[in-house]
Amino acid sequence: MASLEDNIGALSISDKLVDVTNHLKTLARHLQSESIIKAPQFDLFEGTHSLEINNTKLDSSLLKLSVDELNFDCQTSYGESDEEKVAFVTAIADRLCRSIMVWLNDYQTLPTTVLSCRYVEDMMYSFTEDPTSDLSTCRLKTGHEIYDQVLVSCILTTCYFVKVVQTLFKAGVVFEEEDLNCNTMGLNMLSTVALTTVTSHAENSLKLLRNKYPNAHQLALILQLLDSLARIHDLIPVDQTDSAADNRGTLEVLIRCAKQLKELPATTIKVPNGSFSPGIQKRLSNQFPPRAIVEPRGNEYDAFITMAEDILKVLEVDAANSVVEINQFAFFFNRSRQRHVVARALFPLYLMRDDQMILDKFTFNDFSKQHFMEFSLCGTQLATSLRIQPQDSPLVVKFESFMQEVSAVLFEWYQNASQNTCRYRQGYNRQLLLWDSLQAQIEVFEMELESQGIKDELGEESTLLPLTTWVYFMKLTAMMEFVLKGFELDVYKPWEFYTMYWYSYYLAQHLENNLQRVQRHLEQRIAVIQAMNKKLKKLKAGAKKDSLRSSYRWCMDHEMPQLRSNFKYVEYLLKKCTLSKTLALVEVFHFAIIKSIGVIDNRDLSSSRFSSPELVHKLRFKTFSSIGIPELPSYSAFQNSLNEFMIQEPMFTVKFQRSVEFIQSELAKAKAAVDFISNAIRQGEDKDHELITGTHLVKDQALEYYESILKSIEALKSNTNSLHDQIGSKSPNSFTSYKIRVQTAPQACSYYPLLTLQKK
Amino acid sequence: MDVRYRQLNISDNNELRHVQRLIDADLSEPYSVYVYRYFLNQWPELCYLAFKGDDTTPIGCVVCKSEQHRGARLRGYIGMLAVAKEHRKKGIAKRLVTIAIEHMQKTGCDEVMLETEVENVAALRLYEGLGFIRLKRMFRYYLNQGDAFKLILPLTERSCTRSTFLLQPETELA
Repeated sequence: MASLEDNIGALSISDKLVDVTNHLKTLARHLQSESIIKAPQFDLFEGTHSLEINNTKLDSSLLKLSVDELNFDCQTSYGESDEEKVAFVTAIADRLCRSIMVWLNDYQTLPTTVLSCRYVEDMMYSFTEDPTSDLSTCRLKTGHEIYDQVLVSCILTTCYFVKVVQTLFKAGVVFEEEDLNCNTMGLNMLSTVALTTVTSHAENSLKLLRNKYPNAHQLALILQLLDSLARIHDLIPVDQTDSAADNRGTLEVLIRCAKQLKELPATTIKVPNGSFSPGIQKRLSNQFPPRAIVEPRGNEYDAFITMAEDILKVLEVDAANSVVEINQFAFFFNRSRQRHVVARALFPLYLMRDDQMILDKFTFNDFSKQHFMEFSLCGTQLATSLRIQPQDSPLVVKFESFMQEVSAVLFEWYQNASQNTCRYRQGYNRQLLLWDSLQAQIEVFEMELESQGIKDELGEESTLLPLTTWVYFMKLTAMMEFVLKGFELDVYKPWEFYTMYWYSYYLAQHLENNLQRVQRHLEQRIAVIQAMNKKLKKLKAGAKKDSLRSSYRWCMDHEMPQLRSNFKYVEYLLKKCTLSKTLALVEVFHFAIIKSIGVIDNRDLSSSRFSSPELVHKLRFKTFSSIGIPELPSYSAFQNSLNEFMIQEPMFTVKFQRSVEFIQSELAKAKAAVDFISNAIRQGEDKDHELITGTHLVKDQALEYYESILKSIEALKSNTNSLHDQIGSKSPNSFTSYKIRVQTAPQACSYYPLLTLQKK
Repeated sequence: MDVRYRQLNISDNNELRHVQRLIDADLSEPYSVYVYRYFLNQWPELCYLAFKGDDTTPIGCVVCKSEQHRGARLRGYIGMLAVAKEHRKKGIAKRLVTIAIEHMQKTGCDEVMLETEVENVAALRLYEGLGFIRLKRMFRYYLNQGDAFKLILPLTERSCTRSTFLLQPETELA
């Protein structure tokens, strides 16, 4: 090493390169196999992302390019006649356009899709070298306008859209490599260029096509589509000056163009040979293993339509009339089908703006407060105190400070709603600690308030604690989602079904109790206001009556509508909770029946070699082990609870029949509840309906969800009948030749797979 | 068939090449030499090879590591496992994994973790047969875009407590 340093020292400063080959070889010869030289920060992640020279799987400089690829010249206008040139440019633009969707929908990388276009590489390389905002360094010079003007517009709009996606990606909502690959190979995607510069360029090209190339209909459509893609930039609220409604037109143009393009016959002219190539991976700094370029599959224009429709759906949240509607929008919009990655990335940014506003309607704190008001806070002593006390009073200051904490957790909740299906579950895992900690803090605050007389009695020495009640509701809902989503993701083995469903049932019971407490408060408060009216009628005219009348009017104008609305919403939540409870209970019964005939066990004895069933159980419930309320039942409580559901001799057949009848009656009640909820969703915000679901912006999605629950009910019913037929009056010991198979009925809710009995 | 199992000899460069050959033939993920060096040089005692009789060319290998996880627990990790095609379905993979876990348990690991493709039924059967459970699913985890399960086998109680609470014992009862 010393001699290497001597050599470097001896070199004149004009030498940029030093030949270290011999020194390296000498040093390498002395390296022992046991030795490892690595930076401390080189961990497994670094290792699995490292490349290796001369390894064909990892070294993109070893990529072999064809002669056409090597000789391809971006400054040549391919095609003999004008007609042929238009056909070539149309084919290039079509392929480029499709590449965008291959990139986004098939989770491919940019170098294997959009950046594999030689024109994109060439122009963005020039721009990166000299990033001028007037695009003067971003040109083609073939000498033909169809390339130099129109194709350039196609490239610019495409790259601008890549920039838009990069902006969304940088906001940190979606994840690199799993949701999206945004590696631009170090190329600058028009960072200094304004949208108007690009759209003006596209407008000029469209004018040119209209005037001089009236037959280039397909090319014009593609350019229009690409132009609307670039304009999606205006939907990101960071730079938004116009209202969303004004921008909706962009997406409608996109959909219209895509619909027309998908109907056009496939072009017979192919792109010029070498115009799409993996060569960029060889020419530019590539931090990833070499990959073949990905050919479009043919459904790309449909994918554009889906993306645009999904973004339009996100924009619809603007029309929400209440926080409940925003909340329900977030709950349903990404539920039955995972939305397009661009829509998912946009949703939280569109909803929760950088200027600390929600949809330009609420501040973060007001938004949080409104969550309480539309659930349990309205009509409480605390609400009254907050209204009458000065803004700088300790109560209001402390409350606002809590609202900031609530906003932080709510931010996580809303952001989680648009995550991919796996991250969604993990998001709840993280959130639970936040909700739990918030509940503990807010409960202490409310207990202090109670000691000052700010409390709402619920009877039987119980009080409401409106803030704690809402946080607890959110926490329980998150816990249930975390547990049930595990079924959809196939995280649980059949032997775990009992514990997971029993725990679900346990959580649903707590949720039901909590909702019933809110319901009681709402009923009481409504009754108090109604009683004021009766009292008014009895009172004689005078100051007392005037004061009561004034209070009554205030309550009727400001409290009653919200109380009634909250009552109907909580009624909906109760029905929904009952559904979850019933379905979990039926799953518990199915497991217990099958365990009773010895075909399944709720413990996996294979863990005994290195671990134990109890330790494995504790690992499964690690997420909940630290949760204060509801307390996690002990391992033995889980084990013992199963005995209560199992069917034992004597009189096995009679007891089994009773279980079956009970299941069928519970499922009938569940079906009635679904019908009731679906009816409420269909009727929308009809004031006469007993429920408010808050789903008018996601009506189809909510109906689809409840339709899937209905299918689950039918499937569970059918499985109950099958178990009844299979077991009948046979001895519980005669099922040694049977096994379990997990099935999900078509279109049924993935939270409720079936445990079916099958012959081995 | 008589199969011998032993730890890798890190002083023998050929053994690294054998491991590379076995893994490269089988796994969809292209690993650089740095990944192999990362594991084998730091945890040679957690790499086991399987040999047929007196042969010197291994027919299977398991590559593991063990490290502190978030400063809260000692986590064993199974990085790679491969058995030559012609020697599969003879229990060699299970034996290799078992030996590795035994070593991890002896050296104080609180848990053993690994990731495997959701579609890799054979791997899931093998690990779940040893008591591993699926803790979470990871979206498009592999280069081939497949989802993965993160599997964990708890060896001690520390595996069953959130890291946050292991780091702050005073809040454990909160």
